[in-house]
Amino acid sequence: MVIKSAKLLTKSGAPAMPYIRAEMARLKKQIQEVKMLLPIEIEKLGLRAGKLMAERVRRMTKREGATGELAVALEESMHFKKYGTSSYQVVMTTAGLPDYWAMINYGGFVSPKYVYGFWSDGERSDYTKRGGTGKGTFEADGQGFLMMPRKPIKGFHYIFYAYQRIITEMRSGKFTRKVMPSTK
Amino acid sequence: MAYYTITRNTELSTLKFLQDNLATDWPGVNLIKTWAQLEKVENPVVCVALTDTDYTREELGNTAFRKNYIFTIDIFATSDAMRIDLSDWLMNIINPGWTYYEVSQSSGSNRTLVYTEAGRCRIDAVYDNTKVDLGKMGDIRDKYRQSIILSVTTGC
Repeated sequence: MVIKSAKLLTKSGAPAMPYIRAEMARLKKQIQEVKMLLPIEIEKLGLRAGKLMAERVRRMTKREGATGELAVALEESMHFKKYGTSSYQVVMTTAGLPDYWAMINYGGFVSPKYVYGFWSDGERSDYTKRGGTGKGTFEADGQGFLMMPRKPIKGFHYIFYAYQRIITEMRSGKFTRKVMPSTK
Repeated sequence: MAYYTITRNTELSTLKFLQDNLATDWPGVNLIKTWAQLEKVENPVVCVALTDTDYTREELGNTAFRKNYIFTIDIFATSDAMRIDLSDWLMNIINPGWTYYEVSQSSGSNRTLVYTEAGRCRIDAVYDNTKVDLGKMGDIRDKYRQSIILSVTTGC
């Protein structure tokens, strides 16, 4: 919105009160419109963040047979909270997420416990690789060979990824265009 | 002589800078650049990896990209005090930036790298510097862990 400074004053140099009052009323109306739109846009921002996180998890999952539980839960975990009169925050609630959400995000070592299992496409080539090697699903239903997982899990950093993408999209004006009133 | 790309040069320059400084200030701390090496070394470990590259336009109307290199630095300490000290020390030494090298393989041996000064690496933004809590899933090695995520740019 552009207020022409020339119109703010009368010819004699006094404030042009009718014009100023009309402009203030228009401004107030626009602020109210933005306040009504803001929660909807923040909600959309949260949903978009959830979708981006799920997208990253799905893309980086290598092994077949993944349940997809985390990706689905991430899409449903994003909400927004209102603070005070006009402050909003996108919040990820971890209560509905599987226990391993942090492990997949940051990566880390799995507590070394022996488990019975085998790789679905593994081959029993020698005694040092008794469970077989391969990139198939790890089958651990009490059958197979006694194995100890040693390799640390690599983090997907899906929270940061979503944050970074949202910032890029905001820079390009994807979210702000609808909320901010026209400057014309 | 085989020359590396700017991205790889940035990663190697960062590793060299940290390796040199760790050797002086924190002898005994292992520096690794891939997650796969983590199982081969004992804590304390600093794992530095260039994980993503973010692209923004150089300027309005310019078709060239400005690359932002996203580094994830994972600190696996042996105590909570060490975790805090090491992350604080790390942030302090990288804050002013570090030398960017053009790296090439020596013509005699491809295992010998030649570093030539060619600019500076600078921190564009620090996105995260937080203690990692893996809850019930974590192992003893993850107990005193810090995760730092940085955006780095290169230039003159």
